[in-house]
Amino acid sequence: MRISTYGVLPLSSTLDTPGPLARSVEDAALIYRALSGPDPRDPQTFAWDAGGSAATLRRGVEGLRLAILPDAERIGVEKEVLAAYDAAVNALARLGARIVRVEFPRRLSDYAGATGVIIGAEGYRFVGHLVDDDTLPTDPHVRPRIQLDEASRRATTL
Amino acid sequence: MTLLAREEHKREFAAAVGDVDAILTPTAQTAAIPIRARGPVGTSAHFTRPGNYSRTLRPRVPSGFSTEGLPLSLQILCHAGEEATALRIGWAYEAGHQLEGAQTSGA
Repeated sequence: MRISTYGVLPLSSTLDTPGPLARSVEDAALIYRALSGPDPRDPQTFAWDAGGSAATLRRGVEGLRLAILPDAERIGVEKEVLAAYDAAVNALARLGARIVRVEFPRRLSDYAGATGVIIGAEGYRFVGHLVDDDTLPTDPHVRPRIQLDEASRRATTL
Repeated sequence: MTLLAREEHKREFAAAVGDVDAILTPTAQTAAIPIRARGPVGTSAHFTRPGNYSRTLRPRVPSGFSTEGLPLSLQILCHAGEEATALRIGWAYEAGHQLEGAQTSGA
């Protein structure tokens, strides 16, 4: 987490991670480098070296070991999404990457679920007063994500 | 408790994939869904939340289009602090991908 969250509207203080959206990877790398670095207004940025990606950006993938999704994680993914994914993996293999198989210690949905609990508990501190106000036009799907029960919130904050 | 478990999960995951440079996933399980069709639980976040959990930069690079013309993309998950490697993989894929596109359109 190298980019300062100072001035970023908070949702989850332990998850919020700003990053660039750009037309190309090179632009994203340049913006990322410009934005990252130590900021006294967000001391978490001191934990990392500045993201020096310019030197290695064009080095290619020859010899890199890239892991693909375990079969169990392909279940539930749309067919054409998988087709585009497999084509991308094959493209990287042709560029010299070594494609390897790994097993994850847990299902990805476990991490996604835990992330949701953290977002709910931490987000409630920032926007709880908004989602608890039924007169405000809050998205009906967003509201329950923030309105975790009290026990979940306590479990997370301890 | 959840935050303590998170640190344990991060250690456990890093140990399991310690000898790879990155993990490739689709960005989402589906192409973009209409706002009206979305449900209470964000399945579109299935592959992106785990990376958010570890708070590491995860480049996503366009990888094509669905039959309905909606964009699809590749997500590159790297180890914490190894963002330069993820960007390097993304750059190589994007460069190679464009090359293939150019060849296709020229044929």
